[in-house]
Amino acid sequence: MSKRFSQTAVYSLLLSLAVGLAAVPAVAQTVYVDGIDAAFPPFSFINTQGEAEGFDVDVVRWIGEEMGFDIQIVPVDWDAIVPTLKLGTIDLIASGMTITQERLEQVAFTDPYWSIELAVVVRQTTDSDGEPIGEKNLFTAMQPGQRVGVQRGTTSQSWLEENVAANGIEIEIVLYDNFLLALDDLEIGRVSSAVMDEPTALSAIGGRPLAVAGTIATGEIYGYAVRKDDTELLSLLNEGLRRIQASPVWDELVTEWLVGQ
Amino acid sequence: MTTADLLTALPGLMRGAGMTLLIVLIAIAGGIALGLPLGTLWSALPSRRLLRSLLWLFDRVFRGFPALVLLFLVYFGVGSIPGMRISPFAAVALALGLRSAAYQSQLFRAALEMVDKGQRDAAASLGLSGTATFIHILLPQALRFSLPGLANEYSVVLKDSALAFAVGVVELMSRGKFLSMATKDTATPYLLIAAMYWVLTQLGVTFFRQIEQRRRIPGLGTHASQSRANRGTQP
Repeated sequence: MSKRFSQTAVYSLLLSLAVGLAAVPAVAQTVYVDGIDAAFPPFSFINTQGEAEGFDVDVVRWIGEEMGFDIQIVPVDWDAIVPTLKLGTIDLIASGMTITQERLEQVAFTDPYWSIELAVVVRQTTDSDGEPIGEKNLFTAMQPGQRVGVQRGTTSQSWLEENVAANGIEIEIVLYDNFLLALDDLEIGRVSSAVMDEPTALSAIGGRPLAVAGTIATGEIYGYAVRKDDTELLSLLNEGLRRIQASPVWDELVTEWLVGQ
Repeated sequence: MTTADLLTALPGLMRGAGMTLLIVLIAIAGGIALGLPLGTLWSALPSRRLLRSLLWLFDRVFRGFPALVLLFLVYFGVGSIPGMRISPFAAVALALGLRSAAYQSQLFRAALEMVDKGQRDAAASLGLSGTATFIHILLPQALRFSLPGLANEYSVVLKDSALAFAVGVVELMSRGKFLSMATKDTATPYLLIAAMYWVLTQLGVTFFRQIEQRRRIPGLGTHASQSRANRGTQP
């Protein structure tokens, strides 16, 4: 028994050593870890090959090259993304994140780089001319008793809570893990509309019997988030944003990701 | 989701399955490493009050909360202590490992108690010391009794590993989520993931069954033919 026992012991020690080494993250001075929502096209998502893609992914990679640092992109559960930033596992969030007062209490944002509106998505039907039209419009979608789907933790949710529900219009806000599930439920009729960032809505409803009933101009602006004390990365990102917006790359990326889906 | 999508996604899914397996193996190994001594202590020292209370506390803490809660407590809790950092993977390994240890301590305690009392008497009468009795007589039998429970524990930890993405570890479940997002398909990727989890479960079950077969001690077991009631009535 002795020999086998010591063999097993050696193997398990080697295994745990190997695993221990693999588990230790290698962080060098010039590598910043970018946390993204893996499910937020067109700003950040993981493609079928398992690689990160999207407008913000491209922008941050460009800024990294320009300003001289490496970027490592990791998908993070959106619900936990701010605590994960504060914890230090990631160094920035570049993922179509809206700058809000609430979030400003927790993190620091770069200068705003894009503004969006919220889109109200409804099922598609045909009008008297046979043209596709939304089943509801902005007003009929926000009537008492209507079920409206949103992704949990997004500005869509807070906007609806503060501007519709709080004003006495008793819609039922249905929360989803991600906006795709909301759209699925919309298609089968479990909710009568879904509210989400407009670029995201446009990227997702192609080929589905859904339409944008209208948009809500919330004046929302996107920024990249860093830890409040990380002034170095913040200035790197701001300078990088200035440079990319002054270069033709910006228009290229905007055309590729954000316009005319 | 097209077949082309499936083929491009397969390597990523396999990486996810690999990460899942890694998490499970480390958690189970940690569970055995800690659970076996704990279970032994518990069954061997029923009278020491302080020790028993500590063991009881450990058990209640790590079996009393949902795995997800435990995961957050370890990851964000340790991280909130100034000066301490824990990687997502380490947090998962620690949380699931400690949890498994709590379950396994019960498993091993029960397995040790299942060893026929007569074995200890026989060992004593042969002049074996307590330690020798434990290592050579009790432990081998107890380990064999604990195999079905371990197979079950593997299955449980495998499912708990699906929570790892909550703290940022990309394993099979999260790969499935990404794929679902990338293909805008909410059904097929998850069916695929389910099939892969099923394969992983079967791997574990088969593994433990193999060990059971190969390490079987003839005559050792809880068959009715061996029970005390039947002694003397069989040829």
